Amino acid sequence: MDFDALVAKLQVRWPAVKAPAVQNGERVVLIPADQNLAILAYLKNDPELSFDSLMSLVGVDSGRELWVVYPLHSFKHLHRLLVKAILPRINPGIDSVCSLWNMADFFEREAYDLYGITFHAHPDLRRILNPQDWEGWPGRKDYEYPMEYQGIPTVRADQFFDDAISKGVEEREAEDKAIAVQIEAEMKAKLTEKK
Amino acid sequence: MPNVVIDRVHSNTAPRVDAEEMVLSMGPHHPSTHGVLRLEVVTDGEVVVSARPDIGYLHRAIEKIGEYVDYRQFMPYTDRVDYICSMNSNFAYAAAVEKLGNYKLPLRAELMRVMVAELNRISSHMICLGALAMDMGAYTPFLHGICHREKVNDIFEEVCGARLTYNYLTIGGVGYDAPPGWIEKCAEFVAYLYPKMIEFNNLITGNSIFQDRLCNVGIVPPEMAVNFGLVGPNLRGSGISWDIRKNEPYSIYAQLRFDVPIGDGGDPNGSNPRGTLGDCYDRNVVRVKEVFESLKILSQIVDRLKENEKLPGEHPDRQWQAKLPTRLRIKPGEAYVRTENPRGETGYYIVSDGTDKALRLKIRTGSFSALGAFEETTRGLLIGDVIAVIGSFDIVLPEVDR
Repeated sequence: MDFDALVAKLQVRWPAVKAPAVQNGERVVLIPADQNLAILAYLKNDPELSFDSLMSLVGVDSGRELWVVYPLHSFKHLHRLLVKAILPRINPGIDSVCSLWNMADFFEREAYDLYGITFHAHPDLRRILNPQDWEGWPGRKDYEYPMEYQGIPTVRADQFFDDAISKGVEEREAEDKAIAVQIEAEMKAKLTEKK
Repeated sequence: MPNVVIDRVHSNTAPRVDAEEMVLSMGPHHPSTHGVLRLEVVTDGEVVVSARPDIGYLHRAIEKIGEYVDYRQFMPYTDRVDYICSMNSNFAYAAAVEKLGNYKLPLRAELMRVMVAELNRISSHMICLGALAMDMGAYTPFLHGICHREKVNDIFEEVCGARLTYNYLTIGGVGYDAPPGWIEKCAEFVAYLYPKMIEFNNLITGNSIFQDRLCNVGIVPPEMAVNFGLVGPNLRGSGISWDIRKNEPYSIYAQLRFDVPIGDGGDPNGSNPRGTLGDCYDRNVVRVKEVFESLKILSQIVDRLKENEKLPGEHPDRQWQAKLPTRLRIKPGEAYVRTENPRGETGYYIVSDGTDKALRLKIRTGSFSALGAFEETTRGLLIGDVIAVIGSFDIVLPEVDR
C-alpha cells in the first residue's frame, strides 16, 4: 500500500494523525503520543497493513522535544513506514509496545537509559547500557558529563594532573622535600618509642 | 502473526530437577561469551531456568559521538561498531548517508565495495563457524577458519593498509583504487577457498558428534524470530527467506546472481534431517551455505572488474570516488536505511538538520536484537547448550554495546 493511501486509512479512525511534507529523506507519520499503542496495534493486526516486523525503535532528542520513532516493515506486503510520536522534555512517557513486538523490550530499555523516556507497562524497565546507578540521561543534548562516578574521576589523566604540571618544577621539589622531612621525623619518633 | 506464548515448551527441554535454585553469574570474562557479555543464569541443577544478558561493558557512546563529528569523520568509528566485519560496517553507514544526501556513485566504486564487503562476509563467517566449533570442543576448525581469514586480511592490507579496522570506504566511493595484481589475487582466493570449504564441511559440518551437540538445541520458530526482530542468518535459519541484498537491493546487488540459503531442519532431504527448524545447527548451516554464495558473487565481481579495467582512465565508470564537496551538508530530513551485514540487518536511522553533522544517528545491529531473544531461546536448556546458543547467534559485543 502506498504512503498516501495508508495515511488516509489511518486518518479515518484517528483524525489527529498527520503526515507533513518533507524536503529530503523519507516521509513520516506523526501520531499522538497518548494513542500510540492503539494505532500501532491497528497497524500490526489489520490484514491490509499487517506490519509484523518492528525494524528498530529510536529515541531522539531534537533539541526542543523528544521523539520516539518506530520504523515498521511488513513481511507479508513488503511495505514500510516510519511512525513518530512527539513527547515533551519534562516527564516524557509513552505506552510500551512490548505486548505487540517482543523485540521492543531491549530497544525501549535503551531509549529509557539514554533519553529518560518512561515506557508505561514495560515488563522490566531498567538501564541497559549504563550502570543502574548512573545519573542523568546521557543521550540528551543538554546532558553534562559528570566529573566523577562513585568517587572515581571520569576525566582523562592529563586533565586530572593539570594543576600538578602547572605548578612548576621548583614548587613541586619544595613540596616533595617537605613531605620527605615529615616522613623522616615520623620514622624517628617511632624508633624512639620502640627504644 | 500471533504473539509468542512465553511458557512455550521445547521438544528438547530437559526435565526440571526441582532442587534449590542457584544464581550463576556467567561472564563477563568467559572465553565462550565472545566478548564482555555477562549472563545472570538462574539454574535448577543443570537446567537453565532463566538466562538474562547483562550488557553495556563496552559502551563507548558511538551514537553520541556521531552527533559531534561531521559525516566524513564518523567513518572510522563505524569500524569499531563491528570490528569482525569493518568493511560491512563502513558500507552500512556510507549507504545510509548516500541515500539521505542523494549521492550517485561511479560503477567502479560499487564494484570495489561489493568485492570487499563479500570478502569480509566470508572472513566474518570463518570466525563464527570456527568459534562455534571451538565452543563445542573441536579446536582444529577454529585454526582452519583463522587460516582462511588471514588470506582475506592480506588482501585487505594490500588495498588499504590495515588488517582489522580498515576505514576503506568513504562517502561517495572507496578510499583507494585496486593496486596492480589485486583483482587476480581475489580470483586466486576464490579458487583457493572453494576446495577448502568442502574440506571444512567434511571435517566439522558433517561431523556427527558436532551435529549431536547442535541439532534440536535452541529452537527459534519462525513467528518468534520475526517477533523478536532476529535478522540475517539467525532469521534465515528459522526458515524465513529474507535477505536485504535480494529483497531490498542496494548498491549493485540487483545485477548479481546468488541464492538465499534458508534453514530446513527436519526435512529428510535437506541439510539438517536430524534437527528441528530453527535450531542451532540450522543457523550454522545457513552460514556455511552463505560462504558459497559469497564466493559466487566474488567470481562475478572479479569478471566485471576485469572488464572495467579495460576502460580508459578518464572514463567516469573507471573512477573509484564520486566528486563531492569537501564538507557535506545534507538537507533536513530523516531516513532509515538498512544493509545486510554478516550478523544480519544493520540499520542506520539518521536525522539531518541541514548542517554538516547529524542531529541523531542510531545504529540498529543484529547482535542487539539477538540478545533480546536470548532469554526466551535458552529457557529450559542445559548449561552447556547455552554456550551453543551464544555461538550460533554469532554475537559480537562491541556491536551490542556500541
